[in-house]
Amino acid sequence: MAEIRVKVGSVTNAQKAKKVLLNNGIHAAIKRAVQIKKGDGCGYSVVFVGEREPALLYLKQAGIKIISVTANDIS
Amino acid sequence: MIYLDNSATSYPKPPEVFEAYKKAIKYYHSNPGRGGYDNALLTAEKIFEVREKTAVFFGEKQCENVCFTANCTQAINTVIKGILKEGDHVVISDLEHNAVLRPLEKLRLQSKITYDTFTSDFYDEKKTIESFLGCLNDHTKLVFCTHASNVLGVSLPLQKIGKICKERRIIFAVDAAQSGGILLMDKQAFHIDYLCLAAHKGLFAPMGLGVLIGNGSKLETLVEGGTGSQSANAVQPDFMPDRLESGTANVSGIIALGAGIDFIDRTGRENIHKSEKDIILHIYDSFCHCSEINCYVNYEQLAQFSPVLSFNIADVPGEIVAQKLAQQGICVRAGLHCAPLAHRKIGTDACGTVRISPSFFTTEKEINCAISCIKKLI
Repeated sequence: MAEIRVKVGSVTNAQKAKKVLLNNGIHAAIKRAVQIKKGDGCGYSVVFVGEREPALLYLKQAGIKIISVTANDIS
Repeated sequence: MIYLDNSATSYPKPPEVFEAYKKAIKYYHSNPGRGGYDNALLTAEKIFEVREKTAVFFGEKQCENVCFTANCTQAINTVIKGILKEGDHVVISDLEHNAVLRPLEKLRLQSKITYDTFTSDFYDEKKTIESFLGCLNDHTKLVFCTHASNVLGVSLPLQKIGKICKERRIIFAVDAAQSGGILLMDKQAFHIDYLCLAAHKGLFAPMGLGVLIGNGSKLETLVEGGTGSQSANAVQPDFMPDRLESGTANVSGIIALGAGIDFIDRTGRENIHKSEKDIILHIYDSFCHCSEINCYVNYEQLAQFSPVLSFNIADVPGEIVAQKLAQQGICVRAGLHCAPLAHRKIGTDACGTVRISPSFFTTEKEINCAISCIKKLI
């Protein structure tokens, strides 16, 4: 089981991403992106526990620009 | 006080708007899109809710295309200056507000663009469309039209104009400052690329808030700055709404806008429009029997109009009429209403008119009192 963090940039994108995931049965929370990469900067992530690939597909299908994805094993 | 200047800003606001505004200041006090603590996220959620609500209300599918601006004028300037390049041609109506006219005139004086003005016919859509078509040329990049005149209330055949623009791949922008929340507006059905709105008029929000609903295209920015996103990049983000929303948002105003839209949804936009339309028809009926009062538009012949009526009493300057009414506690606006084109059209560019603009909350007693006071000035 992994906690997936999908960085989507702005808080509006994060809100939209959260809604897209919820509409597909995935409960997500919005968190401030903690890892700031050089040349990127501040932003927000949607964080959820579950399968990575279907969730990313839902987000891509909804036109949400994904900046980065990280996974932390919590099992 | 009898307030009949709702075209300038609506008053009173519905009680729930007032309550939402107060609640916003107290409970949604953090800067959305900046912090990661609970209240910042909660505030961001409220803003997102209003963004979605606004998108649905105006027929926009993508809520991120809804941008909150300082006012409608800023939204209009963002569109005009964000789209036009050297050599472009623009077509506008003869009813446009200075919010549209002045930015275009500035660009024209800089020899960057040219623009033409089509003649609207209040009673014959065909003639309006004929004139509109006659203004288009191969360089026409943008058509900018008001939905309803802020001087006369008359509306333009936007759906037909929008369809023509779509067929010819011309960008279509609409100034709906006077009509938003009152007349039917469906951005998709009207083929509108950019819809500019004043939140504080028919949408009942407080002053200091405008809305720009775009089509997702990357407009050149009018203002750049902090967005809370991609902060390491010196270049403005290319995604919406961040691209057009630099700096701190008017959070309490936006939340109050949400309450305003809820009020309209619950009351029924058609009911609001009918109530205001009936008031205008009542005033018109009272005035058209007085040979000394000139109303400029026969409202009984119009299929639809925004609740605005301009008039003059014989050769009495409008400002004097408004001043005398103000002394009796009646609030109306005289002058050119920042819309010299509309006044030129009806021949009042030298003297202006007196404008009455009631709201859903205007009572019959107030209107009859105002009519009586106006008639006493004859």
